Amino acid sequence: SEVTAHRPVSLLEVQDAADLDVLLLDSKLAPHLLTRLSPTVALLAKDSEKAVLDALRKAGHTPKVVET
Amino acid sequence: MKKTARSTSNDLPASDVGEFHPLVTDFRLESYTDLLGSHHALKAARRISGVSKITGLTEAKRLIRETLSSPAQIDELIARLHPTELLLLQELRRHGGLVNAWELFTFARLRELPLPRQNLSLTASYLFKNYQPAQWEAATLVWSLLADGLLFPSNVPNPWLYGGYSYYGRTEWRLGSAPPQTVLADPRLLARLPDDARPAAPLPPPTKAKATTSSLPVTLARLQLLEIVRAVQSIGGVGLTKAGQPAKNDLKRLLRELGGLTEPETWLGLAMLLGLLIPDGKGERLVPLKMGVETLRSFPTYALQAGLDSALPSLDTPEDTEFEAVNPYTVRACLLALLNEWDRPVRESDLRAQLEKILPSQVRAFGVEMLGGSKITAKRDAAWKGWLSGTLRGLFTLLGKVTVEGEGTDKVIIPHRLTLDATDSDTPSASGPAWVLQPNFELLVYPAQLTEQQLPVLAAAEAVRFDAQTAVYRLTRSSVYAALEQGLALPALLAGLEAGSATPLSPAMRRSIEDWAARRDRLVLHQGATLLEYPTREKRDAALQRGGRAIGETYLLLDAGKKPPVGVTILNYAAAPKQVLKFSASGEFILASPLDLLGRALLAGRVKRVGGNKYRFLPPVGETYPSGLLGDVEARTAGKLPEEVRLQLGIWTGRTPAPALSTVTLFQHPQVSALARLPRLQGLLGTALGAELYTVPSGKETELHSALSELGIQTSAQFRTPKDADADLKVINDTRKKREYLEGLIGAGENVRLRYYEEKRGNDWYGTVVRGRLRVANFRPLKIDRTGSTPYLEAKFLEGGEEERIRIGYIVALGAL
Repeated sequence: SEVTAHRPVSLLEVQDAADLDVLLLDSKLAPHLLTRLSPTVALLAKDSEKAVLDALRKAGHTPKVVET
Repeated sequence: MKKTARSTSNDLPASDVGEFHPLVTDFRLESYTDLLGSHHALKAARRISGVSKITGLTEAKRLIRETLSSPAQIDELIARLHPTELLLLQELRRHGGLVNAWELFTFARLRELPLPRQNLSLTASYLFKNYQPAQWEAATLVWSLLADGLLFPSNVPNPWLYGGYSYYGRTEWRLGSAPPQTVLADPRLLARLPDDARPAAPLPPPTKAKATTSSLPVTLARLQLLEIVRAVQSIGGVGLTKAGQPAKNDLKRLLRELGGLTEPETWLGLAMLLGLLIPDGKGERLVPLKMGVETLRSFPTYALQAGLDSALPSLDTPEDTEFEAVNPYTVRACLLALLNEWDRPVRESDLRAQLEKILPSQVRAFGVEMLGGSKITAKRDAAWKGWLSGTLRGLFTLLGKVTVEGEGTDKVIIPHRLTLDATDSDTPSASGPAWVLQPNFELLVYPAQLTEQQLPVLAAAEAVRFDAQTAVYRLTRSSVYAALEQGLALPALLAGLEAGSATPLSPAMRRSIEDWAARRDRLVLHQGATLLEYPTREKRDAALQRGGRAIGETYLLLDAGKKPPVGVTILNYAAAPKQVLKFSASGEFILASPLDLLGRALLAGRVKRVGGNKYRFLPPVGETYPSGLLGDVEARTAGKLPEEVRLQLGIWTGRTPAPALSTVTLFQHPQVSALARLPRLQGLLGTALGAELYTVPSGKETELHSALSELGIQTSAQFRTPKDADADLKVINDTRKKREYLEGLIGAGENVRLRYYEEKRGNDWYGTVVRGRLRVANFRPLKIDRTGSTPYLEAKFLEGGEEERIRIGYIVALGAL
């Protein structure tokens, strides 16, 4: 098939692309954000959800966790 | 639990089954004869069946099964019971067939029931295979029933058994999920016991204080347990040590989060005991059990108090340490049983006097570390009084079990014991406000007015303090965030806050809460998502008509719960990826087939094409690579990852430290450590690199040279790199191979250089041999001693000439000289 389903994957989505720019500069987060799929969505490395959440919360963010 | 008619069927009637604890319903004594052991099983079978000659375990099992399956034979057994045995079994049945054995003990001692007859010698050591009966005062009340199979313990060993002579062969087991120190009995026996009235217990002298059936203390306990759960959730769980204890750092974080609780560690222990906090799947963190929290919110007050009662004896208290209590669990269990028995206000002095009658002297042991002397009895008595006073005012008050009133000799203990009937009338009316919202984001909460539906709303606030009648909570950004993360919807939170309040939600507070919720929406982590990848944007956009959201140019994020369309290729990242990277020995690789999405993302910007289809990893610029990169690359590699690439990726991801390279001056001498201690050379020798080799701190070379010259010691630039250099030593891990190597040297008459640990006798009771000092020395190997289970090398020390025995297992490295 020409369509591929990738699952399960974890994504970090922001409302404002500038927020993702800043997060990608964060040394705690950057290693876990593998690639930017769009200006507002980044693909997370495998099994890095907890590390990303911890780093975000430690930095004062209140990320919403959505199980999809 | 009233029985009106006896069944004549072999099986338990349905109505009886429902009366028993689930563990008891399924319990059949004959299935546990193997745990009893042959002798014990035979004794139980003789008692239960009435047959005196039984030849073996199989027959014992059969007789127990046949007797307990026959209503007529059970009735005969009941007729043979000692009056105390009958009363204890009837009391057990009132508790659903499973009870803390100390409750039975207290029941019997309070009524001064005579000890059951028992024909078992106190020195017989076959109970539960290896144990003797316990010999402390009145232990017979329980162990004699255990010995005859009329009661069965939830765990072995237990206080009713003595295992002093069976240390090496002792058996240990626990029966399913039964709490420790509980006992149960075969439900077929319990179901046929007569319905005699419970014998009255002597009551304490009356007091002027009034009994209470208020559920408020238990409601406050419920709120405090919920607060512990909220706080643990808020900090993302509490890390556990390898021993399963909360890690100190996380515990400190948790205690900071729990400003509103007094004795937060007690509440934490209680939440763990009640199963509200459990280890996560990996056993690494303590996390809330969602179902447990929902149960805690909805559990009837009387049932919650029963749960608190079951956990109460097991909680450690400061008084246990302060007054050197030997058996605090037992004394708390008996105290609890006595308070439940009396169920009325009692003077503290009367309570203490009755407990002193009930508790065996061996159990009521306090102040044991106190030194002897003429006043020791008085001191220990004071320790016992101090412990009881502290426990009643501490743990028992904290958990809403009692209230202490009055002063001096009039101090009265008012037990709180709820019944189903009492709490029915205690249900809060929905009409009264549950809290008052204050402009500073605080809620003045009236626990007595709280309904079950309001508890999830209250979970959006953190506790500030708990008082006797009220509690104060505060809404914060993090507490609201945590509640929203737990699934509370913003409209439900706003509506719930206002509905429960005597005052309206101010516009400013509403706006703040809405702002906090909006901040949460700015960053979303999608977990377990399915991403569809299309070849072109047009095709992706066309697919959007069937749902989902566009991500970037060619991706589509499927809606929650939606399955990928039929016919698409599915790449499952929970499974091992395809091994498509093929490395050459020089560290370059080719792609045997296309990489998956994560693989592509991992390599993007981290590799460069080096001609043809070949790629090579690039070192990171600035930051390190993701720590999982090495593992992810290995998982996608066909065959073995070249050592060079493994080393590179290990360093680039920060998993292994970068190599250190520097110009240093070295100092070598066989007695370098002695030289380093000389005052004249202080600070002139740096790090020890080996037994003979030190670094010289940068810039100190000339000073060291001068200091040595003043000592009349000349140096040379010739370093010894002889055959005996430690770098040449072979590291052999296998003891057998080390022995064979040494045997080869002995046969060839060669000397050996050994790096080995000397044996050292430990300071424990058994003088266990452990590894001592690491030593490097040259020997003439003489022979291998294999007489014991541990092989030794007997060798002559080349420098001193003395013979030594060296444990071969402790040799780290060795080499022929």
